[in-house]
Amino acid sequence: MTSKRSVLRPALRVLAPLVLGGSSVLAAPTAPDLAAAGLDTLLDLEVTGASKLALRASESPATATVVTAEQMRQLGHRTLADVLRSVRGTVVSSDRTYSYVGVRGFALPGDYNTRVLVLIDGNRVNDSVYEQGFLGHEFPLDLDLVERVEFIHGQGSAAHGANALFGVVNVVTRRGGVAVGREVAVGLGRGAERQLRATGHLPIRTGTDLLLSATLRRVAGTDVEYPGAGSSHETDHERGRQLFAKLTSGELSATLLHGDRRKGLSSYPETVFGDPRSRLRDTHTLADLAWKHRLGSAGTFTLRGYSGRYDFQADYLIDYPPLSINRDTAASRWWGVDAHFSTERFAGHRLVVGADLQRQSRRDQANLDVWPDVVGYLDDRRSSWRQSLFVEDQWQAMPALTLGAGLRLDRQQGSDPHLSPRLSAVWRASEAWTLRAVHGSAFRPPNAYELYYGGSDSYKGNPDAASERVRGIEVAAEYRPDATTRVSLAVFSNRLTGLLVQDIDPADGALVFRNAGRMHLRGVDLEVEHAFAGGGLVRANVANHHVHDLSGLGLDQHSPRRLAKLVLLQPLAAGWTLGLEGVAIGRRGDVAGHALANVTLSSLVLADRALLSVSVYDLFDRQASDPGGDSVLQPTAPHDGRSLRIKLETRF
Amino acid sequence: MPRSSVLRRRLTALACATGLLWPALALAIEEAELKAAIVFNILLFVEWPASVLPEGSDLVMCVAPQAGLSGALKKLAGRDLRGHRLEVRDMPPAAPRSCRVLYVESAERTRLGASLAALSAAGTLVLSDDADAPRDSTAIVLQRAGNKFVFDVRLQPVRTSQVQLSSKLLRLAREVIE
Repeated sequence: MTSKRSVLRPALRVLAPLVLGGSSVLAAPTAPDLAAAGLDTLLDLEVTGASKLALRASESPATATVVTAEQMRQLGHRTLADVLRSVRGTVVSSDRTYSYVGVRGFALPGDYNTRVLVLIDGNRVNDSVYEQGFLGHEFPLDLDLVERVEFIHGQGSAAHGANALFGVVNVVTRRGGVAVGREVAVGLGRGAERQLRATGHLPIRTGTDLLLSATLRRVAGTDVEYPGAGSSHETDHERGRQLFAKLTSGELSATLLHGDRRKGLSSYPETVFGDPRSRLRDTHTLADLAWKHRLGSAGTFTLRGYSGRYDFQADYLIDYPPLSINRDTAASRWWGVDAHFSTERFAGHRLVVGADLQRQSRRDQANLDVWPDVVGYLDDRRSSWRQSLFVEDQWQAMPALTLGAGLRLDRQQGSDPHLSPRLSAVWRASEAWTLRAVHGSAFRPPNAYELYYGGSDSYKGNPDAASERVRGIEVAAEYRPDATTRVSLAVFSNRLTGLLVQDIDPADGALVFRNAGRMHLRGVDLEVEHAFAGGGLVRANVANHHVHDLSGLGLDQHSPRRLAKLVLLQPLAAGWTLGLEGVAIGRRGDVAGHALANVTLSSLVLADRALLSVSVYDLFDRQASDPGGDSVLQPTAPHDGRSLRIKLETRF
Repeated sequence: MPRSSVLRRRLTALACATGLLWPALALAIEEAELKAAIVFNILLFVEWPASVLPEGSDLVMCVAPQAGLSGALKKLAGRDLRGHRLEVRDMPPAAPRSCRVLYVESAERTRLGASLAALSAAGTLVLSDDADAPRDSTAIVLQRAGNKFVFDVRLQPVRTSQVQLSSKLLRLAREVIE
């Protein structure tokens, strides 16, 4: 009804009397009488004032950072890893194969993000073999389809179960109802990177919407310079494809997404350096069907069925001798049903009760030589069940005090049940001050890789491995003097026990995972955010971490002691917006501390039908590195250095 | 009804870009001011029976005293709403029987709980910004979609509270729920 109407006309109706109604144009502007403008006009007006600090959708009492779709475009974020880079207390790294995030001082090279839970609209992305949180281009969803990303600090097992040891990344996709019409996006970047996306929105009937999207991406690759090992040519290529479909119809919603990424490996431990025959492939398919029903005043009932599939295949060219191709594969299949009921029938209480039943029908791993002869080393097939029950209550004990208590019971077939409690208190001490305290417990059962991967002299599984546990406490103070400014100080302490660490068994020289690690991580971080009247935004955070490895295994050497980050969004003349992101990370083991800056300029062009953005990553060409996957064979993984990306998103 | 998406946010910049208006009016439309103006204008389409709101009496609106909306609404106090003077009060801690209009934020909802349904049945019009507000008591939900505001109307509390809504209001609503 009102989509095609220009905002110019109704805005002029409000503003014209002010300009033409006698007062000089040079006089100080008086606030227009919005209340006299008429309801239809008011519904057409846009908020342009400063109150743009995004409010989070999650009810979690822990500190959370929200990044909106608009900010992602203004800062030139390409992947989920880019989005997490400016979140307080995180360290994002990459070994040129996958992207990793270390949270609040916990950073282990080679960790497949198993201690951070990644969700898309509440559905687990972490697979059933590696329990990996995928953050880079292997993440199966195009970031353009994301409405917001919420990073919720702290132990999330009381609400979500396994893997939420240090945080939960919740990716919220675009709602089907938001009108899009048709969209085409084209991106060009370094290494002959070409990305093409086509998205279509079909309103089928009133109340029923279908959103479809397909993305193709190709990177021819760059030459990568490895200090001490030489340069690898034509091996860093990548090819990716992503499909997304979302149907919403009243109380039902169904989502299907698929991602397939093939990557050439430039330098992988033990492979022949720089040979193009080493490559890997990650394929994801995730589906879910959800029904959300309001039972009058009793509450809301949500029933969801979900299914996931992740296939991994890597070919490694190894010179044993002789020169051979070794193939490593993993097949993850899982499906489940999740039901929960939330009610506010009891005055002052917001209660949620739920259950989750999950079948991991495949947790298979295989390893074999495929060339020149076929030699099998491992063919492991497993399956498992997981059952969970959870309850959480937020009780408004007093007008300014909300107390929360949550408990989740998780049972994994073959291991002891886990109880994850969480207690919280949120005190709105005044209009401007809010104090929060959260104490929580979280766990991570050993994944199939840690339990069962073996079959050669170099690796063996540990079927007796137990879960990792963390107990943490966070106290935070937030100061919001008005709708435009927020200052947040958080102090935390996390105690990690039973950390699974890969070490060489002296008995047979094989690498095996053992629950040998114990760590105490504590620190403080401070974040300041301010939204300017003209639409600009600045967010700065600094963090100081103390990491103690109580087990003496050197687990703390890759954690940076200090972090500082800055995000600046500033509208410029002629409709352009400047997005600046700066990150400074302290020393991590042998990798020197560094600072990186990314800058993006974006603007609406072509009569507001398209968004053009130009980004320069690593503006000062620092050519920094990250710790590599293996401290001996790949101690550092170099970054790309300064690179340019141009992107045009058109709507028609 | 289609809603604005991320790409349309700069349309108001266009409005100010004509030579006359820029830079003399660096107009910022604040969220709280716009929200308050919309609430006020919605009330212009609402009629209460004379037994509940007598002729010439003040129309009392209660809102929790949090930063933002309460201040913006108070600036509109004293204005005429179809023959009734608008009075804006801070929400008292107990069930506010004197309030003819109640603006409830999600944080307040758990505290008021079941009394909301009773209030609505007695003739109080309840507005909220929370989509999860109970359908049997909250008549109007005002939400932000991108940079604009939209509102949904729930007919069940309207019927039980004997409040009358103009059909023009229903036409401007994003969604009218039974």
